[in-house]
Amino acid sequence: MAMAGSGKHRLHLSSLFLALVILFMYLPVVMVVIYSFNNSKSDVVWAGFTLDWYAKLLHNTSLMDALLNSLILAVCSCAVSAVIGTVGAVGIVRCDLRTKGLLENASMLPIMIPEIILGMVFLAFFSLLGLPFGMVTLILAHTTFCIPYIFIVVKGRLSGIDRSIGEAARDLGASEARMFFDITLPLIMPAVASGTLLAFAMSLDDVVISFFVTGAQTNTLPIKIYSQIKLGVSPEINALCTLMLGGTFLLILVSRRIGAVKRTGKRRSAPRGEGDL
Amino acid sequence: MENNQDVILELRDIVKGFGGTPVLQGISLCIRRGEFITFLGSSGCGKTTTLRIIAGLETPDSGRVLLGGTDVTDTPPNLRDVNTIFQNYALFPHMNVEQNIGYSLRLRRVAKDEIRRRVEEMLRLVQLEGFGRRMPHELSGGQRQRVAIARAVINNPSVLLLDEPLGALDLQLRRQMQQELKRLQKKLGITFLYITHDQEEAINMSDRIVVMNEGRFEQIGAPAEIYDHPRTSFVARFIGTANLFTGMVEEIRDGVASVRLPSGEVAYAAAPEEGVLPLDREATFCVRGENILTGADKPPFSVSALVAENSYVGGMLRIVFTLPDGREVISSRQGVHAHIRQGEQVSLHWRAQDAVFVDLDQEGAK
Amino acid sequence: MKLSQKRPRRDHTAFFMVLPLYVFTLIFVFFPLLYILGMSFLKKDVLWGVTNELTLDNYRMLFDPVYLKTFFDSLKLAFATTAITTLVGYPFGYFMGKLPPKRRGGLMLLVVVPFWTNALVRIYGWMIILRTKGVLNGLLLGLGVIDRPVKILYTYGAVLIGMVYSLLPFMILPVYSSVEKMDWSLVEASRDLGANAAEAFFTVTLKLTLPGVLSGFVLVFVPSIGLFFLSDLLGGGKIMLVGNLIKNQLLEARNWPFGAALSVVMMAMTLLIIGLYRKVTHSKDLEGFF
Repeated sequence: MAMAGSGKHRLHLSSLFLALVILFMYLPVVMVVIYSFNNSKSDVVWAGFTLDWYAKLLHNTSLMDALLNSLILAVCSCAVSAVIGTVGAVGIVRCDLRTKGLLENASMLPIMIPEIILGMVFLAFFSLLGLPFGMVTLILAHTTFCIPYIFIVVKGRLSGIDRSIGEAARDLGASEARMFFDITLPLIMPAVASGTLLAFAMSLDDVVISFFVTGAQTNTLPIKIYSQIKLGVSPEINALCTLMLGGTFLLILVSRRIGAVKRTGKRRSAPRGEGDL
Repeated sequence: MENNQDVILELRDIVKGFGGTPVLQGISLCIRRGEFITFLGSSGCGKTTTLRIIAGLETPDSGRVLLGGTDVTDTPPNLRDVNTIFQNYALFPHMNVEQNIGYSLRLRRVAKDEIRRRVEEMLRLVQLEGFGRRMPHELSGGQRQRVAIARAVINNPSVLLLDEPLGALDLQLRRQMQQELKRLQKKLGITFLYITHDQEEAINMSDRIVVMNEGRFEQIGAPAEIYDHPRTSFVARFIGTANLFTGMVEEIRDGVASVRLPSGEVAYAAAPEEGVLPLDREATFCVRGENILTGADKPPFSVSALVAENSYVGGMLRIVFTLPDGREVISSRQGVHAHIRQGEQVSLHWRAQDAVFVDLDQEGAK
Repeated sequence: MKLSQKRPRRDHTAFFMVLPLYVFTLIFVFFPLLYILGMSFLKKDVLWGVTNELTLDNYRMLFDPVYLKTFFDSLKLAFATTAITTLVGYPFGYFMGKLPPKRRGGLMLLVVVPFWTNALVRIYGWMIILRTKGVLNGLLLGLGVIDRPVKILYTYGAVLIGMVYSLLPFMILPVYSSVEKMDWSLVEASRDLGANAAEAFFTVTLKLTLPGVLSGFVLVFVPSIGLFFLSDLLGGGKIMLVGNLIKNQLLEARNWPFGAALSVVMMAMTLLIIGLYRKVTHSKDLEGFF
């Protein structure tokens, strides 16, 4: 009895700890949401509920432009890196090049080294090439750090797929290309999707690298927010952030719902690690 | 070698290594149409690699693979008239049973109705009617096995390769599937090339067995031949219980060789019909456990031993004898032998024809 | 009869699949890094850019006491951040791994969601809380803990809070991943052999979850050196970190070679840390990273 009692007690303490940390994590997020409804220009005092900032947000063209830029940037760089990263991961698992290990390490570098170094490196390199700073340089830079996210997720998934499944397709008469489209791609699709989603979030969120490679004309949303926060905030930012938060929540809920449906539909969709050879 | 119409698959001097380690060291073999041939060996002996080379999933470093008289060594797997049943079945997890079985027909752009008809036929053949819409993960191990079989034979390949297909099943199911596979092979008339490390399975199912060891063929022959006349000590040990005796060959007369064992006792063994058995040299012969006879008195050509252990294993009495030099002789026999007691001194003997020389010079071997 | 080809056909396909990744990595990772390395040995031009003269001055400059102090401060902050995230993140990941699987998933979601929202927005939330007339001071005043607002924002403490806050998930996730993977029967075995709860924890659990903790160290320590916007926003630009230094050298002082030298040193440090991690854990991938 005493044992069970103390176990229960410990569980309580640990739950309390978990709750406190979660609170710490959500505290600033909640603040932003609350103050987006504050009927005051300063976010110091609470002056009643309003939706004004949401209305004003729609007419804030520079903020909207920045949002649009960010979305274009994220979509473009993710599309390119999804292809390069996925195809590269599939290729690297199957090839036996001597420089394979080196390549893998090098392609991981962009997310291993501090962002600021990547930013500085791109700044110097793009000016060496004489590229005009703007959307093109942004897309190149973002693609560079998006590839590793997709690459690593897809590669992880691939290593969990029994190699003989692809071989079975070949054995039954599928060409290399048919095997890729009939077997490999459908099996790694969830990984491609989650890797790309991760890369998308990273691209949408990036300040440091964008800060170095963007041009004077092109603002991304994080950079716009950065300069606004530094200058003193208009509550429209709060409103925008709240909307983005909502969007993120929605996205995650939807993707989890889809995932849950898929999972119950086909539990254990691939034999993971059932050995090979 | 044999170049008649009967040979469906021929391996010529296949050599393969992985990263400097030799895996196959020049193996050659002819397989006849409609044969059930089994590659038997422990893991790492190269049997799976041989199979993968035949399937086209691996390219040999040197040597040729001939399928129906055509050199297919450089033909990719999808263009070979050979299908494989993989160890883990390798069913496509995102396709249902029907789609799995019909995959190769879809690749060949067979008409939809035709595909449906043949898939139905296959489902009937492997007794899985009504399971067409199930996903692979909704099936039991045995059912997955059947799907893999149906998927591989729907195209009527000239050779079906089976890579330890029953390895993941429990004993009872394995026995049942062995019979079903055998029945299927008879019915379809397809050449089966079967891989296993289970000697019992190999003996039960095969027309011929290829015993492999360290990338070489130790012996090729019918199960009875391999069991009764193992050519090497490896084969003798790998299949059944074998007792190996080494001694000096003293005399050969009337097809019987007398061998002086280290204990000084003389035993006899059948002189080989082929191969060379030199006089006054050491030679090793093998006596199967069930051919060891015991007696209380000591006739000539017998070996004295001590009963170290007797126990019943699976309905058989298993007796372990110890020779004076400490080596063990294991004998197993049917029935109750109450008269053999532990600690008792007995003599062991055997009929000359039950003692077979192994590891002789291989000149006359082929 | 010709000798069969050495390479199976599929290798060609695989090679072409890897090619884009290869080329891209070469052009956008390898060359730029090489360029920076080279630049760090060149002399700065009068206005901006570089001359062709070779020099070690950029590295010599690092030993200037002002810059040494920046390095020292950065490292101090990085260590403090790593220590606090470990103290908070380890128990969190541990308790989380011990929850029933159903509740684990939900908690995981809760941890990850803020991580998916804009980092700046969350930092801004902290600014609302920490400013002198902000929520925290209001709360403390209201409770009577203090009788006049204290300055929290734009101090070292604020930067530290921001760092810990931003990097905490990077400690929680790898620890959680290693706890989840752990074979609890080993702990039970050690209890069975007579270890008390604490002994079992220190001799078994901690050892088995060490890869997670070490991975967390790397994932927290490495970025914490470079997050210049955190010290800009929460430190009010008064806290100078290596990240800020590089940024200033590039954009304000326009001393690119020195910026390059700083980057090279930081990168060497990063690679050293990752190399150490691999050596200690004998694993190539960072635990729990994806």
